[in-house]
Amino acid sequence: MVCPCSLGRPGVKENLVKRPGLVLAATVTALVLALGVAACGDDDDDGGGGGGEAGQLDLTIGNLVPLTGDLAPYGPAGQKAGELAVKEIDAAIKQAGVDQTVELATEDGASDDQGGVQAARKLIADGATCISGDYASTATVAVARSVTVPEGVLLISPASTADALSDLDDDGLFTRTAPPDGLQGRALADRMEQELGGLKGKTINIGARNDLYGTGFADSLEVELEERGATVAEKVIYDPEQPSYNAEATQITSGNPDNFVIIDFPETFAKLGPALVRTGNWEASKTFITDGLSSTELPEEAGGEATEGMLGTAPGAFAGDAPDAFDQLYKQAPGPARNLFDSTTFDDVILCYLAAVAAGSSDGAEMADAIVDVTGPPGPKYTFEQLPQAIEALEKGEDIDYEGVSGPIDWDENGDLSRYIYNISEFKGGKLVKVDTVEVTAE
Amino acid sequence: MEASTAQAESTPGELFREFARERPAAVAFGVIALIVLALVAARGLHDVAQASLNGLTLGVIYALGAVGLTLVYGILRLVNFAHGDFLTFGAYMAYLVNVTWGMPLAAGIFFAMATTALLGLFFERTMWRPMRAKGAGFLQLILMSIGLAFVIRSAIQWFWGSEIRTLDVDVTDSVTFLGLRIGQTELLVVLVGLAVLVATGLIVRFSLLGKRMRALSDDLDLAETAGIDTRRVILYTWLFAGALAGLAGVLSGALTNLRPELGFELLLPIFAAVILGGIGNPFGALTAGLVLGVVIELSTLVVEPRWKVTFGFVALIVALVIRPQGIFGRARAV
Repeated sequence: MVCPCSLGRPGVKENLVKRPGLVLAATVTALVLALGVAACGDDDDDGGGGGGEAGQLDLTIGNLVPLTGDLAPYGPAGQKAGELAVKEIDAAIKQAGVDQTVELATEDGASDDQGGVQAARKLIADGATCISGDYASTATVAVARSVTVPEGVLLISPASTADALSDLDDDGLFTRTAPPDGLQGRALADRMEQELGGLKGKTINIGARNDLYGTGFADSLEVELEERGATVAEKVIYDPEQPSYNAEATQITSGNPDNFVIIDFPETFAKLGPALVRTGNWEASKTFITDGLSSTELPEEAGGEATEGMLGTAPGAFAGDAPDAFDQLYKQAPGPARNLFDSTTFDDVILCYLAAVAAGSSDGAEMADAIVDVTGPPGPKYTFEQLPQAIEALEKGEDIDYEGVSGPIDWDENGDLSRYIYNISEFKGGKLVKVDTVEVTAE
Repeated sequence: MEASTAQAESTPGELFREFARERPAAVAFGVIALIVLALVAARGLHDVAQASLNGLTLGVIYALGAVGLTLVYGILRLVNFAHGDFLTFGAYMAYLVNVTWGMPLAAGIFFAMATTALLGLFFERTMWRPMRAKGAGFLQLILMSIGLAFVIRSAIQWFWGSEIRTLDVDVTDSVTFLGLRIGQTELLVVLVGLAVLVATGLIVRFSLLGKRMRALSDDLDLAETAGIDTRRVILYTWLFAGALAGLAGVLSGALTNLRPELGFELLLPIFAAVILGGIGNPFGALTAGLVLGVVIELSTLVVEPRWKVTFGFVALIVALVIRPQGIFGRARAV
């Protein structure tokens, strides 16, 4: 009698008994590689282009947001902002009485490179020729390099702030409404100088996640801090996907520095924060953070002791009628509460549309040519509330200057914002409270 | 016979090689001890002890995960890629009890162990046994287990979403002992983990069930001929592996937090422990898990933390190149 469990085993067993370690190691490696490669598979879909006669326009805008993964806390607000923007566009089209249809497709980029690339491919397959996204800088680089630039699709990132994106080889097909980290680094260093009564002679330890955002920001901030006379004693770059962060925490707190800067995303900090508290040499109130951690949910995720008193910068909103009107519009609609990148995502979608109207085409490259003129001077200023008038002006061939809900949005030659406003916020009583607003200009 | 004649005239080098072949574990520990001594000399006893303690917390989880995985492989020749997601499942079961129902963590741990054990049993009855009966090959089973991994993870995401969740434990308070700091929860994890690992070792070594498991792992057909009820032992193996995975999941969740990728991120080091320990050898997996955790953390004394995992795997590769069957694998297997 043979037990059913032994069926199919003998042949396999013979090989395995000799070198079980190697066989298993090889199998695991092969599978991991296979899964990775499968996700990078190429496809040669042509983006749905097609402009048409003057006035007529058929545009699909893609909204690539992180609904899962590290940046999941920000995604739902971005999705809602995108939907609101298209609603505004539809209403404006009706009011202006033009022959245009605009559709929105939303995809989850899962906060990582592969997820972003897959989502972008899907959006393009759905006909999108202008995409708002991705959020994480590394993912945006991947999406631009391997999907949107080769496919001739215009990509506008609402959240990727890494300095490295300024030098992207993009044929003009990439731009962003998120300010580069260099600007934020300057704002943060200014604020630290002010908070600490001068940075001369201060020792500061920096902890940063090991990705484009973390390392890029840490580098530019280090320069800014040292220019102001501070010493960066430890710059600890850590892997964001570890089950334990004790060693990292010990290193970040080593040498008893005056202050700390943590550059991270909420999911990792939820693990690192408690480990920092456990070292006994760290205080949240001596710690400065960046936009990545300026999430209203952080105290809940990482614990009050790991967040109370942390002060940091995050891209802010320019004051004015457009931001206020957006705030109202957003809060009246059902769905998730406001979060960091909702206003920029909203602007991205509107800009996609305005660029298409100005270009008279939904072709990515033609929109890319038109978009800088649409949002920069010269021309009279229009906000999203004057969208019907803006459409009419563009149809007449006039120049407009779109004023976004996230700011004036004027770009330099790299497609980077040349000035920006930062909110200074602090965790107080388990809440993220805005304490100040500063404006920074690029040199 | 040959060995004894050779011994008479062999040089010290050959003697050492002979010793190394017979007792690889002793040599491995010797090497690690030397490295630790060097580190103590360079960085001081305190730093090394602290890093080792940190590593032990990590190692306990690797070890708990690896024992179950290696038992299943040893007995069923099944590389269970879903094992990592068993950990995740356990963590969320504890969340259900500990947070949703507001009961103590201990209750959550038992519930997680019980439900994850049942989960293992469930898949054995619905997937693995029928597949074996149909004579499925090594690769088919692997692919099925990968598929299963995604199914479990997606199901967890469906019910609990992808946001970060935490168990109701104190993650910030720490205890100081002989100048070493360890978080309260970490201490609990190390104590519970080590206790269960010792119990596991004893069960596998001395109990009748453990002996039967090892008999099946050595040669399933032979075990069956010897009158062992293999089907029953297989079921017990799944219960055992599931319960340990559930525990590892809860402990990992208690240390940091819960997310659907929790177990998947742990799967690679757990595999490493299985391979390093000699595939199918529960004692090996147990020890290798602990060693791997400590080595990874000790490496942060030398290299930047971001390279610590890489360092752990470099150590694994070197160990495997020297000894392909793993440190605790049997010499005769090669």
